[in-house]
Amino acid sequence: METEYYRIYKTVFYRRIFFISVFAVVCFILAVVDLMVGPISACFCSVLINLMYPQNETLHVVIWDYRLPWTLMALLVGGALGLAGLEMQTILNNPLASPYTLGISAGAGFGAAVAYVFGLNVLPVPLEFTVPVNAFFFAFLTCMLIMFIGKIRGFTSETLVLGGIAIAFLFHSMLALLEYFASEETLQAIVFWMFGSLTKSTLPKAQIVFAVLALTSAALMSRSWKITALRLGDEKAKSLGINVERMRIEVLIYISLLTSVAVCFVGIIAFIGLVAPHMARILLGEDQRFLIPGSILCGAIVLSAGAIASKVIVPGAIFPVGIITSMIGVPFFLLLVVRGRKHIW
Amino acid sequence: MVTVRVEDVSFCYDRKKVLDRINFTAEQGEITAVIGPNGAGKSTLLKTIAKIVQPDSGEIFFDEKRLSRMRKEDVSRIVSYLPQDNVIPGILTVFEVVMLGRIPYLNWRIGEEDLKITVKVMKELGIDNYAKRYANKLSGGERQVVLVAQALVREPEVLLLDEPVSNLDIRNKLEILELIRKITKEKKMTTILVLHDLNLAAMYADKVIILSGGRVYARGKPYEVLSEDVLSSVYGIEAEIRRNGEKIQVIPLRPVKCDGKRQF
Repeated sequence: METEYYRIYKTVFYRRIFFISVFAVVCFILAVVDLMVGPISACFCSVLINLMYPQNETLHVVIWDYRLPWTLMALLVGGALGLAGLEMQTILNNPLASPYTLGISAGAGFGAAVAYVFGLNVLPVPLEFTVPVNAFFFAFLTCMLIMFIGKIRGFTSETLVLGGIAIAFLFHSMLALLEYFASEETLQAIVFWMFGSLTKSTLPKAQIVFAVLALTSAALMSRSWKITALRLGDEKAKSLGINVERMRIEVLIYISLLTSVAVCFVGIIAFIGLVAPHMARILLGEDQRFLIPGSILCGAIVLSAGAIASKVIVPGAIFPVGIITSMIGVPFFLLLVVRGRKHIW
Repeated sequence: MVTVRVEDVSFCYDRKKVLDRINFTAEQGEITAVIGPNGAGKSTLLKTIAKIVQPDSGEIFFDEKRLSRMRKEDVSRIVSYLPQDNVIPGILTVFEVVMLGRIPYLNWRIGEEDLKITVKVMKELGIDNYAKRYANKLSGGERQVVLVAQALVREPEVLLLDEPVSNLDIRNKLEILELIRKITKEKKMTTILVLHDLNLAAMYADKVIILSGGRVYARGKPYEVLSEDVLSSVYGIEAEIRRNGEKIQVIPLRPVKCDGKRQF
């Protein structure tokens, strides 16, 4: 009889592995399509050949210098935001929590605006890195502020959510103030950055996001059981020997790194941190061993699809990807909520 | 297996004394029921033994080991605590919820031993037939049984259950308490239950601790401590106690004024 249950467990285990594999295959297909689509269209074979051997000089440059960094950035930033959203929803026990709703993106936006309006640099870095470094610094500062509030009032999910919302309003109002005093040209640059765009992606930037994503996801995977137990509630988790407060601080640090690195290079992309974990959760359940890779892949899928749509909606022009992800994501998300499994939260 | 000794434990919350110099010993192989009116400190007492809250003064001993010097991870391998709240959020199957009880032992890849114990406990509690169902879709009573299974799956030496049968129908109440008694005796566990039903406490507990206003009002065998006077003082009720040797039956009659006097 035990063997029968072991078989049931194995069936569930392999079904989840199957879903993760499907997500990975969809990611790969979207990445290839993303490389093919653009003002200079290319077939699958020529993309593959020009990735390996430079046959057509123009296409090789287009693929290596522009499309590949964009494609990789879409996958990695989508993955990072998906993972950050998942962990935020988990540690705060709140289905609406995401880097955007807790003000981390607002902090990043304010940092970028400071760079655009005053040309101020919080760290001594070359001029071209002013905007991403400022965005990273203020996004990280937002997380630290949330943690500071948690330290004063206790690391309960209510304190962190309310603290995050208060900080989001603070940064939104400061950002509005900067926009009010900014010149027309600067205002345009701020607004465009806030839309979220992959156009400034480069391979070194993609490497940085990859390194952060790989390290944080490995660290989170090693704590997957303990993070799953947080979903049972604080008291139950504590009785299982988990130091709930310390776990929240650790995970919040990983979320800070993921979100800060993701938004500093591409601007604000609001929807992915919210929707990707829900997409993954519906198919994979609550077990973080599967949900972590699942949310990363779902985030990558949504942003890649958005990146492709941003190139094909108006031929020859590139729409800001942040607008597209919300436009294609919201109906899809509503469909999942209305037709999907009930009682998720 | 261990004996739990609570010595002079006090705990304050928002300047209010919730526990006031509590003393008692819970023996291995016995069920100790903690009873008392709402707000008497029953749940807090269980949380101090589970090391979820730290007492302001006093000490809890597991045999000769001081709880204050033990790591939370080590305590979680000895003690299993089931809180009052029986909500199970998220998409977790019954099997997963029960298995999460073994977290202190689980590796990334679940071992066959963990699966075996999980299945064994589920069968003992009769919930193996809905192993694949989502726990948040179960009725309140079914969820309670699942959470009791989660507490037992760790094979603890000390079992702390806060109102474990409060949402169950009478048959399920009896079944769960029979099972808890059987496991307590067989495995020589030290079991401490918070119960509101005085008749169930009288039926299943080897020893009863009556808490009132954060203090131990009375302690001893159920037939020794449960009397009309005690119930009148602690609960403010008039009750009739029918005695048949060591067996007793409490029949509550009506509320009366409470004097709150203390015996210990």
